[in-house]
Amino acid sequence: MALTKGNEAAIKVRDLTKSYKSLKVLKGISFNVKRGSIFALLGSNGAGKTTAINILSTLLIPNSGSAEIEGFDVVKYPNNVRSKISLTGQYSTVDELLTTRENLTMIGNLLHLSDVKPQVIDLLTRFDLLEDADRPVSTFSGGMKRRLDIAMSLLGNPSVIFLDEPTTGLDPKSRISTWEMIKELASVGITIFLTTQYLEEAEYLADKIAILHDGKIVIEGSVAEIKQIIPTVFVILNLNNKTDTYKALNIFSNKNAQVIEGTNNVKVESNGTIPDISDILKKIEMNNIAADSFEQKKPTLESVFLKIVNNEVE
Amino acid sequence: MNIIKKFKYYASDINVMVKRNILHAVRNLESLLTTIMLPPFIMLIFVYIFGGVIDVGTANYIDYLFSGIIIISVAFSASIVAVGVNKDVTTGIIDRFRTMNISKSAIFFGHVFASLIRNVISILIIALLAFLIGFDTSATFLDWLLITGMILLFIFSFTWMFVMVSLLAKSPESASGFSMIVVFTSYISSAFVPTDTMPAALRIIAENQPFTHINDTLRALFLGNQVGNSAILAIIWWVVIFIVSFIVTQIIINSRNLR
Repeated sequence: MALTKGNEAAIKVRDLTKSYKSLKVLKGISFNVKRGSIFALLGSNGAGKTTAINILSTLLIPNSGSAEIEGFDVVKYPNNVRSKISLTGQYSTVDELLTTRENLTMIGNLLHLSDVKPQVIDLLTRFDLLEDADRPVSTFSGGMKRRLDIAMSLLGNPSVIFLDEPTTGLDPKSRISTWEMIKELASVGITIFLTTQYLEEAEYLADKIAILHDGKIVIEGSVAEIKQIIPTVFVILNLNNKTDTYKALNIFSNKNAQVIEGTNNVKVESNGTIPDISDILKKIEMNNIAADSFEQKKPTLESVFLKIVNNEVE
Repeated sequence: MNIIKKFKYYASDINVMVKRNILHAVRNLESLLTTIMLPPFIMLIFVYIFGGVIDVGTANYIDYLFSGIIIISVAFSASIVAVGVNKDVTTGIIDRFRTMNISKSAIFFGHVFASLIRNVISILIIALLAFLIGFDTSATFLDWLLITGMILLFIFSFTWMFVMVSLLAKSPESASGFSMIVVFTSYISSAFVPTDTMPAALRIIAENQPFTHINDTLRALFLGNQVGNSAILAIIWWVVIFIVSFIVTQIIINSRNLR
């Protein structure tokens, strides 16, 4: 039960399973999260992300397997775990009828901090909430609520913060400012475990990504490692006739070229770099393919799963 | 952690939660006013609209009715607790509390004590109005002490029952729906009219349910009649209801399979 410092993992998960009645939500997941790093659990709706975060934050008990936070088993020592963590849930975990200041003060008092007032003012300043300190939270936008939510999570100096889909439902501007906030937390040494449905969010934030699909982790690695396996973009070639379509499929067969159903257009995988894209365009010219235009598209999470699952079959 | 420190933390947690609920009540002035104003209106309706034709054996119908209105008032006010507790559970803030190292029952003591304050205010308004329209009591100082104690026990225990139910309810709407059912069952009692004109089956229920026992006790104390068995029965009922509600609430909130 000793607390080990240094490069040791802040979160250790082994063969975790969880079922609700006959529905198996987690089918044995394992991973480590390095202290002070950002870990993203990426998955679509219903993949089991919230169940995983609830087990790690002591809200749920797993059916089997183990999970440790800072050396404490979440099932056996929930109170030790609770004093190390804080949770920002998927639906905002703030009190809507209270003001910003009252929310922060309430949590500070519940943590029995000796200097609640200065800590609250510090957080209000850091999170740019000072002007709205005495407004009820119910009048806030989603982005502001999220900001307060994260500020509340920082009271009591947790060493691990859980963020369940921190940017779901936020407008693009708030999403970016939430990302900046999360980066900042990690820069001061807090371990961050977040779940997300967005590949780009995981890519931007995380040091390590695990993709959860159908209750299993289908792939885990650093952003660079994940990028090698999954395409970052697709290049769509808008073509006029069937002949060109067949030509393109042939030339780009090594890039998993596919016809987009109902059109003559062809979809080609790319890593999104300029040399790679210019290589694709050069080949089109060399082979006299009459392409009207081309566009880049980010892959959807579903296409990533398909790709990974197909790779495994091969 | 030693016991004194633990107790201090517990008291401090309860204090935080009571403040939270008082702020909720103040911010939600509309629902507060409705629950506070409704019982006095019901009292006036009963006294001036139905009262003329109801023969209860006391000189004034209000003398008979007064204890019943207190019961109704507490029952109405519980809907605020029902919705409040259920909102805590269905909106996510409870997850933050549950992942913190705090005594979870403090969350609900907050709701219960805030309800206690609300109820006392509301009952004082009813009492004032009742005296204005001719309520007469022969209660002695000791009787008043007993009355206060019984009312506080009733509010406390009744509110805990609602905390338990609201934790089990799937939505604030169903929690508030349940409070309507309970308000309705309080009518099947001796609160408004004597039970002896009711059909036999209904009368058996009406005469043996906890609302009737507490109501009969209060009424006897107000009118200076013999209290009889009703006081001890009321105490047993409402203490047991409190204990069961408290234990079930603790089990639910500490269960790590709430969702």
